[in-house]
Amino acid sequence: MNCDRAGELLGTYLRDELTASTRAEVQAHLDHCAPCRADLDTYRLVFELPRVEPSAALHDRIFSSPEFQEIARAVSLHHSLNTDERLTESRSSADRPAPVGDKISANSAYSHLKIVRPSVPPPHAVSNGNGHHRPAGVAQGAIRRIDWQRAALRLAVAAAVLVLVLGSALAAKNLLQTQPTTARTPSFVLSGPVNGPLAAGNRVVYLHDGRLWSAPESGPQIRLPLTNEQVMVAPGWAVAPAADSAGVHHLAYIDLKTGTLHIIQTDDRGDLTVGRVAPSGANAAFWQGDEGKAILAGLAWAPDARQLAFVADRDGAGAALWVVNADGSASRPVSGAATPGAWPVLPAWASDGSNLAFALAQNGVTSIWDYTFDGNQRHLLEQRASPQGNVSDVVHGLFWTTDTLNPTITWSAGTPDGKVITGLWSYRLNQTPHLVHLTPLGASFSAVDYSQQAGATGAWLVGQIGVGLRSIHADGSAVNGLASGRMAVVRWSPDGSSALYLVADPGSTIGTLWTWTPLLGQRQVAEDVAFAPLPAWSPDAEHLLYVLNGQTLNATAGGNSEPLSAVGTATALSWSPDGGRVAVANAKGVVVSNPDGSASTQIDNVGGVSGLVWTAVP
Amino acid sequence: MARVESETTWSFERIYEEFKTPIYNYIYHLVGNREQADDLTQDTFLKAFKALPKMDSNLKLSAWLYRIATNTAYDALRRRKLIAWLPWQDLDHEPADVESADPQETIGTTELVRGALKRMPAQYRAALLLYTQEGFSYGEIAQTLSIAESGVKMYLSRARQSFREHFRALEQGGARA
Repeated sequence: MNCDRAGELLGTYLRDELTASTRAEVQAHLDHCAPCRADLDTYRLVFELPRVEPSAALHDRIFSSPEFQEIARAVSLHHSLNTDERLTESRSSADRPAPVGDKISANSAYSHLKIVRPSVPPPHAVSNGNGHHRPAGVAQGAIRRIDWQRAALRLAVAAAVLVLVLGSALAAKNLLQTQPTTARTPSFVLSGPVNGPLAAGNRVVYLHDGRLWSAPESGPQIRLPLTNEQVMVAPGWAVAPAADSAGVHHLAYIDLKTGTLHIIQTDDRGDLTVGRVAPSGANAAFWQGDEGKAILAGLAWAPDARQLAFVADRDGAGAALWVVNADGSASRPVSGAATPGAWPVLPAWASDGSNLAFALAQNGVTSIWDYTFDGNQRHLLEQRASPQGNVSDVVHGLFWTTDTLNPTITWSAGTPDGKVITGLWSYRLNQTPHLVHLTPLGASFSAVDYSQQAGATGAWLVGQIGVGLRSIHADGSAVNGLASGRMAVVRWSPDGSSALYLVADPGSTIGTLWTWTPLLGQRQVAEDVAFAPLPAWSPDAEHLLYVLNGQTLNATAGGNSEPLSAVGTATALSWSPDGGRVAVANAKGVVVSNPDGSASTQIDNVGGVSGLVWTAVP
Repeated sequence: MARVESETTWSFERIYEEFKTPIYNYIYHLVGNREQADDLTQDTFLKAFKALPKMDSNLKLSAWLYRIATNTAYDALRRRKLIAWLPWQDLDHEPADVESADPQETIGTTELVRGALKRMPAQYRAALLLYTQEGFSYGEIAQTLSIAESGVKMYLSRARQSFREHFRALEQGGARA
């Protein structure tokens, strides 16, 4: 036996499928031919790779897909038109012996197929004892015969289901559209001297005991409630980024008790009930579920503060993304018909307000969408959060860059538990290829943050596992290595010029606080810094507040820290927009002071305050 | 090769049940990603079901299915290349003190083999998988890959060479598969 012949038989030799005599010949050749032995070794390595099985869900994905339904329909139609042919075919098939051989009989149409599971179970696959299976009867077997009646029945059932689904969707749409979407309610009755407008000046708004409160920075006036005592304000309330023509900010919140969305003004004039965003009777279990969380986290003001995006599921038929004007008018869905088990997340407005991007979670898969207000069109951009990664990955952050000439959406994808970010992606609407994978395949990240102010038009800050801190321009133009270490938290400064990061072991609640600035590079600020509340950058990125060993400190970006003596252990931190004052919540209440701790005023005396936001009342 | 030569009636369900594992396994090793293999296996079967009336009557069902699977995977691999990539290898300023890789990521033979396969040219990878994992003859490989039977020997020769080079490089370099 020569090498050519032996080479051709190595595969069957490996699989032990040769006759004894041929096997002996091959073995004899191998005994004295080193190159053929080397070839066999190579083949063996690949042969011994463990086999992988498809997921059980794949069957249903195929056989309930629209494509398969279309094929089934074609089969059914063909047979309704060719009944005589079918009968003839069936008779002749029964009369002749079953074809045996290595080829499929030539079929000119679907008439030889059936689309139902055969009554006889399929023969077992042949195993070679090494986990390798090959299908029995792989190469033979004529495709014949069809059970067209059952095919037609299946089609009829599918059509009925389709009618039901469409009907439900239309009904849901009608319900949503016919319900009053705006209803101005009288301002609530308060025990305090409030019904707006509040006195002019800077005020701090915060959530305590299910109510939103507003307190003047100057103190020591009593704080005033913005919501009445029947309301339970959900976390996730959102203050508009810009003031209206009267100089007042709008604030949107969801009442957990009634499942309604409200818009109020930060000067405490009016309380507008936009409408229900959760099914009637939504309870704690609903709000703690994925859909409930999506609704609570779904409030997003447009950059010009004239519109609010929100997620709503009014009747339990599925959540949709809606947009409403700040005055409560023109409420309309933008994410298409609601589907049970699907909900939009992370609505993100383009910086010019022309588009609204969002992710849609459905059946464990998250897709990326864009809604264009000019033309009211919706586009599916990517079918998955990780177009080339795990199908179960979800979107953790979704943003636009500031480049309006080349509008770009950028997002982070990662595991559903949020522990690992598996990649960053950008989608360029006007540029091909549209999709940019900003991170290498196989890389993973323990922390990421995005800023529209960083880079040319927006950049990510990432803590890459095994590497360190990098900045990645969202338009794909640059990647910069900044520092080393295992980052548990990374944060851009508000102006996107500098970064802070906490280096810690997984699971830790404290870590070493570092800063990276263009001028100084990396600087260690302090060890054992608390993750909660997160260190907070000043607007000019010159200082940051953090908590260490029960003390609140103010550090320069270069690293020198001074304690805020009157504050104690902060539970929430917030800089005023001009950086001149800081608001700090602690166990005893809320304190406003200068950044060095001087001129402090207690503006509230209750603990458990969260979400400090500075607002201005003209 | 042992083959059972009896059953004659096929259905969509039956074809799927018979071929789902070998086709999925083949596609998985071609593209190196389980979720993508799921998608491509779905595409393969749907394309096959749709195209059954146009099937080349000179082909075996298995070779025909594997041909669709191969082309579907090739399309996906080509599309993958259309995605823009950032020049991560060209970083001017790498962090000075890079943490060592997780020791749990030490690579076993299986990962080395997978890594070497992933780095090979796709057409040679397909030939090697069909010959070893799927047990195809030269003639069946020729049918599946739409090449002349005389070309299969050359394909396998280059496949072995390419596989060995990448396998050795991975073995020595300890690079991630």
